[in-house]
Amino acid sequence: MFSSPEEQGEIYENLTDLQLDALREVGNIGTGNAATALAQLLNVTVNIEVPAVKIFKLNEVPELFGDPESYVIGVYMKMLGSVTGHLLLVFPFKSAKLLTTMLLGTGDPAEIDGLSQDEISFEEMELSALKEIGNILSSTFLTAIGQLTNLMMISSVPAIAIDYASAILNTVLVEVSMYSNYVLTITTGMTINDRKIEGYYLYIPTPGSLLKILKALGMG
Amino acid sequence: MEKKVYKVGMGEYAVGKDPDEMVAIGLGSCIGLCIYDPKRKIGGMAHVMLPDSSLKRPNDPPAKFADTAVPLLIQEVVKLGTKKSALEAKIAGGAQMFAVGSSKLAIGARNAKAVEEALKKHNIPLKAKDVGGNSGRTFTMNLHTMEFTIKVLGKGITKL
Repeated sequence: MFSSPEEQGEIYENLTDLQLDALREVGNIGTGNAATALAQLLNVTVNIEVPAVKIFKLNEVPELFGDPESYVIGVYMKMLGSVTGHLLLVFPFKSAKLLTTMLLGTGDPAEIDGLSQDEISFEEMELSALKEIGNILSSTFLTAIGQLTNLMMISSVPAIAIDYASAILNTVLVEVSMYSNYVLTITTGMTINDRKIEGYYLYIPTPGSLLKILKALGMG
Repeated sequence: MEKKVYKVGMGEYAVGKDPDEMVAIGLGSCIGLCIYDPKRKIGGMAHVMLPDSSLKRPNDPPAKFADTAVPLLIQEVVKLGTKKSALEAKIAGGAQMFAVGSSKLAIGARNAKAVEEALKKHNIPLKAKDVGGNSGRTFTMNLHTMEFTIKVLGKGITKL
């Protein structure tokens, strides 16, 4: 049976440092634009960390954000168009609550700092605000990368889940596992108004799409 | 004997005996599959990711797929000193975490169905199941007490 190296995920092992740098820069531009959009929406100062580009075996990912049973909100979008894959935003409970409180003006962010994850719950309005944040972050992220690479990048409408970090990550990884036992992730965190808001982007292009991106950047 | 606690990650499996414990943390669309001998207190757990090994690629572990995980677990549990006719099964997981239009993400339901079919095919009685829904589950099998527990965010721990 014919099977190409890219199907087997071997493409990840053969990426050069230069190519990884290029992908980091792609992530940088994407998240930078997303940060600007978020700053305008919230009228706050948003600092985004330099993205990390990493290749993981699938079973290593569920512990990517620490405790696999920590409570998070996941906003998932499928990437459609000429570049396919997955986009997942992960916010730990406290950070998600801080974000919605700042966005909706529903309370004092300082009070949320002292809460444990068991003391936090979300109203319907807060969830739709998070979905909207996910929508804005992902569309600006994809638009920026699309302009850079001249590739068409669009995403599905966001879907939201409130659950254990590992349950959310596993579910996305199951999709990935159909074509690879490895995954390339571009992740980043952010700070808002000097308040540490943990929010992670997981940008997971399919191996074929990854090649397209590298080729478009003249690094194929 | 010293108790071992096995964390069973995606596509992995573990077998053991009293007083070992096996846990699959945060099952989303995946299935935690337990096959065990309740009298001899021997058993195994597999973390099944996909329904069908026709999707198998080189280097894929057999515990990744429902149809290959079941016979694998039967074989490995029997090796520890029991017979196939003494075995039973319990399963948990197969949630649909994200309610999106794309039916592809409904893989949880397909996983649950495939595991149940494979158990039937191999004549292993399914004693209990907690599948479907929209919540992640942490599934634990204690081979000393022979208790099975499921932990769901916001709902605490229940016995299966």
